[in-house]
Amino acid sequence: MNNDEIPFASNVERLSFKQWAMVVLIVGAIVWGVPRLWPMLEGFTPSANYRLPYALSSDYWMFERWCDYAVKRYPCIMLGDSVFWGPYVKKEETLTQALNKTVGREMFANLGVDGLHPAAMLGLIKYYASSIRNTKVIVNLNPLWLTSTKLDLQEDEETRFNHPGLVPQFFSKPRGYQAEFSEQVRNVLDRRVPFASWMNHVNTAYFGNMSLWQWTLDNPYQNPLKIFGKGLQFEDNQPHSPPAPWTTKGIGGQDYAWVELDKSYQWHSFKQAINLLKSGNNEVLVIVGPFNGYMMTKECLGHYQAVRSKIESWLKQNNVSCYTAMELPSELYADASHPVAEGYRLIAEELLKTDFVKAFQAGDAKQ
Amino acid sequence: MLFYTWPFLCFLLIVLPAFFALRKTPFWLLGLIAASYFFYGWWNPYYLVLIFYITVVVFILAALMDRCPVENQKTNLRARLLRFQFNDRLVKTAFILFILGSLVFGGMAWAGPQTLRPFAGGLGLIMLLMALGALYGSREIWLVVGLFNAGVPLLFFKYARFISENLNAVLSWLHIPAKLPDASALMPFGLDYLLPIGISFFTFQAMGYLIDLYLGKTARERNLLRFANFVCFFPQLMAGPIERAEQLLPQFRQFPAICAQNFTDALSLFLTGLFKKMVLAGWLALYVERVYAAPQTFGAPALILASVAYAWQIFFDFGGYTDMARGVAKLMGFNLVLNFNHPYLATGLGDFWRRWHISFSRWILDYIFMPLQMRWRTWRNAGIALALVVTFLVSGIWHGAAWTFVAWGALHGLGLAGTFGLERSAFYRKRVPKIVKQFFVFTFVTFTWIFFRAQSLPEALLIIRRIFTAAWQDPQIPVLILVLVGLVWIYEFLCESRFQDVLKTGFVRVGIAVLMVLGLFFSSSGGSAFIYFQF
Repeated sequence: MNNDEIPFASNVERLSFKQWAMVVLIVGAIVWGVPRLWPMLEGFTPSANYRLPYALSSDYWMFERWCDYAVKRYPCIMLGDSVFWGPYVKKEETLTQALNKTVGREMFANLGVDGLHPAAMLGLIKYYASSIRNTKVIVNLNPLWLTSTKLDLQEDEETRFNHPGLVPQFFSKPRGYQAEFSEQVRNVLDRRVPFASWMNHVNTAYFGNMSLWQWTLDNPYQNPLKIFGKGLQFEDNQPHSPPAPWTTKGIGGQDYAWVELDKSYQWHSFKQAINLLKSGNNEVLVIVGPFNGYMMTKECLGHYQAVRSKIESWLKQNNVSCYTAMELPSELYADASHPVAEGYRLIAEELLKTDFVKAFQAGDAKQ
Repeated sequence: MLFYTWPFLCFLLIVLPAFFALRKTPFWLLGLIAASYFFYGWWNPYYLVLIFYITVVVFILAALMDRCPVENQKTNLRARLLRFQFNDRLVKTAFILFILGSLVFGGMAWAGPQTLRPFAGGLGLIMLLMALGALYGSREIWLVVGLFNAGVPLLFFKYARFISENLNAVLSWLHIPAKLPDASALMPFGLDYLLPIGISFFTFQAMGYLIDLYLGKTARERNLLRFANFVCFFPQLMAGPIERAEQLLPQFRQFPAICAQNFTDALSLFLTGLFKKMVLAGWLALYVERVYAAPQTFGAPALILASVAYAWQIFFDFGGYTDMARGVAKLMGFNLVLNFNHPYLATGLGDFWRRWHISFSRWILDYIFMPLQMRWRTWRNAGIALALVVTFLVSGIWHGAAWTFVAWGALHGLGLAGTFGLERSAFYRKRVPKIVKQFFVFTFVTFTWIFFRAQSLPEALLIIRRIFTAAWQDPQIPVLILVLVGLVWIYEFLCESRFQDVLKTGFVRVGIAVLMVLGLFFSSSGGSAFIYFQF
């Protein structure tokens, strides 16, 4: 068969240069416009005490939206992992709400995200929290992330961890992060292209963290467009886990293999996150802990105290306000680092003694 | 490295500029080979040896075949052995080298390292055959030796385990206390016994070249680099289309002429292929996998719909791959043959095979069916029918070493044998409505796909039995899938109707392209390997 005789294709989808240019224009307009127009279609009026629903923990588009909203309405935002999010408490019992009750006004917004280790927090601030510049921020450093090389993402073998899409993908990535190249590229696209992160939002918020195709398989006779019509359904009020004290769970004396702070990936990331916040003209208070000393062996507790004092001294050297969470009564811890409601209340009262929070009570913080 | 993955995009972003940069140098062929070898080696670098082996051996054997006169010389082996002389110095050198090679490898098989003995024995036998070819100095012998050489890796990697398992079953049934070793025991250096991706395709392509050369349909390629590119050209290396030497080889004679239309055509082909694979095939696969994973738990409607869904899935999967392959080749200025042409609009089984996997159908038609038909021509229609059955049995076995594929091939062979007379009749051609013919062809083809998709013959029979006997339960098939397949069917019908001009308007083309891009955005399933890579 002569080359000229070979048919182009069995279908007739053969576009000219001009037609391709039109396709690029139309698709470009959709990619640019949809994430910007979507908030107008999707109602989002968070109630008081709002926290990002647990099911949307990896919906960074939603986080960004909540962040933009919170920055406009609250003088101070609280950024951290589940210690701020509050897995063992109702949404009105979190540390954020305990603080709001203590100062008597809605001053603090809960931007805690479950599983947000420091390396992920750095990514979240860098790519999804640009609106928090020039605000007051309370950041949580949960020492739990420093208790093993695995949690510190320093293991040589492949490690599964939360929020892999937020950590560095190619350069200075965690040692245990060995995602496939395609996944790494997809993560980079999610951060850089709002349309990609919006699609992730749609899949997470409407299709139960599935693709549209997978969702149709589970809901064969449902119209996906109707799902959109209902709007966002999530309000996470209930505790994610039963608020029982750690002593009832049969957890014995822990002997954590604390990582060396100077070599810690998470601590290095946390320092970068603080520097990033400072470079964004943010006024920052770091809350170290709370951490359950009763769960540890004596030797382990000694290690923890050494690590903690090193953290405090770095924060002091860098002029960052720091509050080390008080030691709570044993029964007020639900596990190694999460207090129950009363624990949060006590910490909030203690926090009120810091200059950072006092300012809110005095009412001289921006409204 | 699959066409729709980021590594392939990176590969292409490096290869394309390098390819164009080399256009004015003699190194572009070498660059193309390097790219193809890298592409293949990405999957498993060890199996590059296979492509290299087939390339070099077929190239040499073709050269030796070309030295022999076209006339069919009857050679007396006894006389040949007694009068040990050669007119051609090259053939004489080849004979000596092959004899030496067979002695060396034979020696290794006798007293070499344990893990290498079977491998060395095989090579020794091949060398001996080649020496025999040189001794005879006949084109037929070179053809047989060439086909054997090219076919041995395919036979070993694809069928050895199947053959040994079945023979062991027969031995056990006959109560003979013997057992053939598993094929993996014959692998040299303790390497894993894996089916090399695309081996059926590049082997058939190389075999086709040898046969065409033997028949005088193509000239011998004297440049090893061009021939190597013909065997390993990366866009069609993994799953075809199986190109003919006369079509592809001339394209490597000079750097291809590339214009802006290559770019737009390539994009059009690639987008269509990507959409077929990622959206249509990917979506249908979800339902098919669910039903076929546990067919005993589904009722008749689900089994019927899953089988229909599979018919479309495999078309979109393989057709999508081919579109992408053709698009990538087009981007570099090369034209690959059309492999699918609305197969589910076929009005007869013969017509189906003229539209489905066209490059393969032509291959088996030219190189298996035609010679058999010629051989059995005195039996008239019975000869044709027998040739069809044998040809499609080979086609089934080519697709995979399993009884399900044999059954699939046999069904197609029997179907063709039973209907080729009917299809030629005036009644069928003029009186039976086209839509009825299309319906029956699609139904038969879908029925055969059950064997193709099922894990085993008993499972296929179970599915068929349940289709006719199981209760009518809710099939739970997503309505959207039905809508989508319906739309595709309408599109297919329109493509071959007098309304096809509507589809050619700029508005419709742009609209469809935009919808395909948006569909791809939502197909975040990640995709899986192409079905035909396993063949």
